[in-house]
Formats: sequence, C-alpha cells, structure tokens
Amino acid sequence: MSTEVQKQFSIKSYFGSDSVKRKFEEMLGKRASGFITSVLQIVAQNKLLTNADPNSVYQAAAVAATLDLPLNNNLGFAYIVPYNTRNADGTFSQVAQFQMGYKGFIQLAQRSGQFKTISAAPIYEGQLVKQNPLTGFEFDFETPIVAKDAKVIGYAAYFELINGFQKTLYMTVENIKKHGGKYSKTFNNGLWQNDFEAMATKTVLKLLLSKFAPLSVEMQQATILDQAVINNAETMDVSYIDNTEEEKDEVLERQVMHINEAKDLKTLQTLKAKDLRPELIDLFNQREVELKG
Amino acid sequence: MDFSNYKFRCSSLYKLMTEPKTKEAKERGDLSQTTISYLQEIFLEEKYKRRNEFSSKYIEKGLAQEEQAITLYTRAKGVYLQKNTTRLYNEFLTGEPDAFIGDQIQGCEKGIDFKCSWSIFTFPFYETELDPQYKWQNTGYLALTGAGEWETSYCLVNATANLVLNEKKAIWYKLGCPDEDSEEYIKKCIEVEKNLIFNRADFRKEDPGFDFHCPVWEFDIPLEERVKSFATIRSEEEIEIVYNKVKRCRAYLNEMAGIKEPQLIEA
Repeated sequence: MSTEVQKQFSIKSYFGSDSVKRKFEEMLGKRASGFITSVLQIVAQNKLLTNADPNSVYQAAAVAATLDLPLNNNLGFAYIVPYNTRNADGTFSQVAQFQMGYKGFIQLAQRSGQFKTISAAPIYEGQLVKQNPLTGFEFDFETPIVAKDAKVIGYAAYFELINGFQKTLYMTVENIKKHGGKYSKTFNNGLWQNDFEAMATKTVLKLLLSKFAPLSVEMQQATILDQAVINNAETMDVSYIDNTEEEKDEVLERQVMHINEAKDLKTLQTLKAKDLRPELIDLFNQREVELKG
Repeated sequence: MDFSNYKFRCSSLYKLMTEPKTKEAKERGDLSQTTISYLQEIFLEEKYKRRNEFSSKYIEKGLAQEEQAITLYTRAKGVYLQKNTTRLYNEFLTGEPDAFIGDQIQGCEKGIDFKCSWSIFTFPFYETELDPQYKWQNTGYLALTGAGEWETSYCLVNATANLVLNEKKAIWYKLGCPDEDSEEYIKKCIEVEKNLIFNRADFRKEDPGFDFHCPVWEFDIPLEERVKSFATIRSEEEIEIVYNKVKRCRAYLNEMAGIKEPQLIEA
C-alpha cells in the first residue's frame, strides 16, 4: 500500500471512528453520513490533503458543519484547503485550513434575515464611473461587456439591509493582489491562482461585511474561522497560518531573560554593550542600578 | 579527484580518530574499519556528487532546539552566550560551532557545543567524562578558533509542540486509531508529555493553545539540573594528532582515487 493510500486510509479511519461520526450526527443529524462522504471525496481528490493531519481535516470539516455550509468545491460555499507548513524544527507538514467561499458569506448573510440584497461582481474597464471612498462608487452596468478580452479592473461588493442602510466597497485588482499577497501565504498557489475571481470576490465581500455589516453570530464565526487552521472548532481555538509571518526573536527574548534574571553585576555584564539590543538599553541600565544598590 | 586539500568536518572527527581494534594494526598505523567506512562514504559522495543525508527525530530535535539550548545555558549558568553563525575553515578542518563567550569566535575565551537530549533517559546525569567522539569535535573547534577551552553542554529543552503532537499521533496510529478519550491512548499521551516537556510554563509560553492530556503537572525539572557541561582544554599535542590523522586520511582517499602519495602512507 502506498504512503498516500495509507494516509488517506488513516483520514478515512479517523472519520469512521464512532466519536467523530457521533459529533457530525449531533451537528447535522441525518445528513451526517452524506457530509462525511463529501469530506472524504475532497480528501481523495487532493494529494496534499491526503497527507494532511487528520485532526486538522476533521476540525475544518466540523466548522463547515457548524455553519451548515456544504463542502463541495463546485458549489463554492466553503473549502478545505491543504497548507504546507514549515515547523519550528525545520521539517514540513501538511495541515488543512478552513476557507470560506464568497457564496458562503452570501448564504450566511441571507440566513441572518437582515439583508435585503447582497452581491459582488467583477468590474470591467469602462464600468467604473465615479469613485469616492467616502460617499460611494458609481458603476455603469448598462453597457454590455461583449469583447472577449475585456479587462477586469477591480471587484465590487454591495449590500442593502432591510432597514435601508446600504454600502458598496470597490477594490482595484492591484489592491486585491496586494491584500492577498500580504495576508495569504497560499497566494502563490491554490485557490488564488486557480480561481482568482472567486478569491477576489470573496476578499472584497468579506472586507465590506466585516467593516460595515451587522454580523450575526454565524457570520462572526465565519469571519474568525476563515483561512485558519482550526485547533478546536468548539472552542474557536484557531491558528492563522496566513498571518503569522513574524518570526520569534529568540535573541531579544534571551537578552530580556538574562537581564531580568541576573543575580549580580558580574552576571549581568556578561551581556556586552555591543551585543545589547538598543530597545533594551533602558531595561539593562535600570537593572544595573538595582544590582549596584 | 584530488583529496590533498580535503577539509574534514569537526563533527565527524571521531570517525577519523577511532583506533583499530588489534594491537598489531595499531602499531602498523592502520586505519580503523570505522575510519575506512567513513572515507569510503566521502569518496562516494565526491565521486557521484551526492550527500548521504541522515535525519531522525533526535537530530531534528537537536537542530530545532539550538536557540532554546543557548537560552537555557544563559539562564542556568548566568553567562550571556553569543550564537555563532559562521562556518570556519583552516588548512585541515571545517566546522560551525554553536556558541561562544567573547567578542568574536576567532580567539574567543571559550566555546560551547550543545547536545539536546531527547529525554531524561538520554541525558548524562551520572556521566563523569565526556564521550570521546565529542572530545575530538571540541579539539577540532579549538584548532579552528584558537580558543583555550571548548565545552560540550548537554541540555534538556522542551520539545516543540509539533514534536509532541507527532509522537502522540504515532501512538494513536499504533493503537489502531482509537477514540480520543480512550484510556490507554490518554495514558500514553501523558507519558509523552512527561518525557518531552521539562518546564510546562515555558512550553505554554511557546504554544499557549496546546491541549495537555496531563491534568495535574508536577514534573518540572529545575533549570540548573537541565544543563550538564564537560570541558575540553586546549592541547597543541592533540591538535597535532588530529592534523596527522587528516593527512593520513587524505592520502587514503587519494589512493582510492588513484593518486599515489607514497610519502604519506605509513608502512
């Protein structure tokens, strides 16, 4: 049996265990077995997901189940996406990340009962008539786009609430790419490359909703859990692999500990001035005074 | 292929310095079987331009925990260490030592090489002498830097959360993918945590969301008991022995490559 088949088998065993089945039944009732089958199908179709930690696949699937969003790549409501993560020890491992699709956000907005209209669309060259980030944007959708090579210049999202409040957000393609490159480590592969339109539409819609819309509990959950590796779906314990670019500054931490824990001047001064981080000079001087006293 | 200037890694010096088993072979100046096997490996690597990479969870832990080991040493011994990031070379050797005390690595006061033990059972609590293989590594660093003393410091540092999880995952598969609340699985996970975590507060700081199986933690090992150091003092005589062995091994490699250097081959 190849390793991949073995791993897929392991994920299958994981989802076949009684405790996992029970949890999905609690969330979805009779639809649980169909949902589990759809998860296993997604895993079987994706080599990287086959290698992912089964628990991360389970947690991502559990989030989709909690939000009652089907996991089907063709529907585009929500996705389970593999992510190759570099561990602290330099090795690599695969984890599954939960990702909302823009249709998922629309679905949740509709369910909240507060939205009269919600939509998002690509904007072609010539369609943007007026833009004012404060008062809003104006588009001309009357002129049909006929040219096959018509250029998409940006994406817009719009909603109107039952109470009449309405808001539009427009982002240029350049701004969306900049946003994706900054906040998504999977920008150079996966959905961003395979289906840019879907990711761009989602980005502008998610930003519009998170900034201006009244968020239902489900919508808040979706915003928090989108693009996260779910450690525990029930407690909303998540890791944002997409946003953890800053590496730990071991030297700075070591110097802080050394200064704070030095019991005498001799020990403290083994940290030489030339090696001391500038931001710690005050802390060092203060500790020196304390130890002299 | 000419090995006349081949520089040997300090971390592999023990393979060069191993003596043959019999007295006669020693007297003849033969190379030991360990040395010959190592030289054959080098020869293959050079001939076919491939590296014999070896990795294991133990080695991975050592590499991953180097920074933590430096911090642990700094805290336990009250001496601020400099991490070395430079690969050093001389006529015979090459090496990248871990850390040093002083302004710069060349001519430093003292150097330190870290060995991160996997668990308390591989930590040399009762050893009184340094393992000879590390003595030769230290001799190499002394030769490269001009330092007066080189220490091998064994450290017990927490495993990363990822390593702990990998161990737990391995157990889970081994037990046939049981329910997560299976008594046997939980018991084994607690053992993993006890074996790989030596200070729970520090571990929590690194990974605040880690889900511990162990409900009550009373297994921290005091800081000062988690570092054990063995010093190698500079000896010009031993450095000379290393250099002579390097010359001997270069000649052997050249023999393998078909380049004869009879003046270096001992009778």
